[in-house]
Amino acid sequence: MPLSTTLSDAALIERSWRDPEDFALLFDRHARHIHRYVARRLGDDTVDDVVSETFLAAFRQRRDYDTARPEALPWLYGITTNFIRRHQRAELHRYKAYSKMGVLPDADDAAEQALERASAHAVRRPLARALASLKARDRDVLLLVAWADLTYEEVADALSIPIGTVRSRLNRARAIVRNALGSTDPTMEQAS
Amino acid sequence: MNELTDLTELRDLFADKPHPTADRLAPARTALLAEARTKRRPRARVAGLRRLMLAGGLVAAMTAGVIAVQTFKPAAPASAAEVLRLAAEAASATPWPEPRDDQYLHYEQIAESRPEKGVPDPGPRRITGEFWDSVDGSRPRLSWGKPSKSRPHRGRGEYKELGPWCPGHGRPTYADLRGWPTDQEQLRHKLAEYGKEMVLKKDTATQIWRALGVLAHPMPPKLQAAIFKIAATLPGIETEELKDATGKTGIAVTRVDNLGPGGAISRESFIFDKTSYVFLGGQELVPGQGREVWSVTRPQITDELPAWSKSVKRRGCV
Repeated sequence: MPLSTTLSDAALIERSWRDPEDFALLFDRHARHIHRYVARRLGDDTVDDVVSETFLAAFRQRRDYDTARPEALPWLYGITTNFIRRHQRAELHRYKAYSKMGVLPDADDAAEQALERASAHAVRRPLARALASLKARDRDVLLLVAWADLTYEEVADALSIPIGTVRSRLNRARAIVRNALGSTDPTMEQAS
Repeated sequence: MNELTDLTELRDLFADKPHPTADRLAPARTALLAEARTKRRPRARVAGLRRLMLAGGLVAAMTAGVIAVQTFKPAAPASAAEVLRLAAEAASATPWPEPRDDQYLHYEQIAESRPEKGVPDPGPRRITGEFWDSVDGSRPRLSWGKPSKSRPHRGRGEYKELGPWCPGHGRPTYADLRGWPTDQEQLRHKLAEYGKEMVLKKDTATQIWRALGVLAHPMPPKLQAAIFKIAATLPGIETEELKDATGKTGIAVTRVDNLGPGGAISRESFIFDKTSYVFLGGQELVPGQGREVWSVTRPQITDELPAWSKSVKRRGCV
């Protein structure tokens, strides 16, 4: 059986302490998930650089990895979150553009854009606006839950914060998102 | 509105973003591997060796043949600690002019790897190498790898290489070693620290033993003696008879750990002359897989590289 399927992430990382090239197996396991997550937040222009920086940083920190944690994905999401922060202006610009135009600035195909605009119905545009309005740390937690599918505990691990803080940040973020959705939800408007 | 609607809607937002193709990820993977390759740290002992076996380069302990070979007498010291203490005495008694920083240490090594039966491997490989190490690492190092004619190293012939001392993934220079403490407690600490870079999450004794790979290259005899004295205090050492890479039988001090490939049992040994206790070299045996044997000869100090080195192609740090 190849190493890439038999070892836990933690065991792979521990191997990479002695055989650094084994770290590439971790890349093979997780890079596509990290890439898609970053692309959803930052778009196609910067994603490749951020993914590359994430794995280089992870590689350099591999000796600090807590091998009691068999799954490394939360750790990788934590590292990538720090790199995403460096592109915060681009991220916010992206959400705001979408909320105004119903299309992402990095969508490059005109026909696709038209289609996208048509499908960007009343819910998604305020949703993007709400994302742009969140505090960065609240947005990080919300998107790690919604887009990276991390559990509260994994988010706490990823960001090195207590789980209670994860809950409070998530609650705050969701309240803002719900508010944004509610204010444009036609059924809500009718009800009020 | 349903409690979870917000999360559901959010999960759908930009959800059409596809996973990247392998082609798209390839540059990031390549960058990662390039970085990983610069951090490849051959495990100490065989330190040079394994890298040399791969890169070509090893030693011929031919001058060691000067030492008379005698049969192993039952009266010889039975304990591993005693062997190491005698080795420390032998090292201390070695006359050795201290080289200057602008000089070279010229020495030979031999390394041989032998897989055990049934283990797929390139086959027996034996390399003799001659080296000129800049004492302080400020000048390029010259390597001359000479695969055995009778058992050529597959895929690689003789080679000559001139390259800088690459910081970060090499071993200490002679000048660095000269700065190491010879005080027992301080040196123990230094060795543990050095071993830790190669062996994490192991006990200190294992880290120190693995740090002994520094012995594979020339060092001040006083430091060598101090290292043997520390090794003598480690738990788990035992003696056995082993042949060094020149085929000479010596008395070896061995320690067993599980640092072989994939966590396999590994027996790492240092081999000494049976009568003079002069240090000859070492061996790592991974039962069921194979062994690597290496020897180092007493180096000489020279002022310059040989004239032919001027035509050798220079390489940079990886």
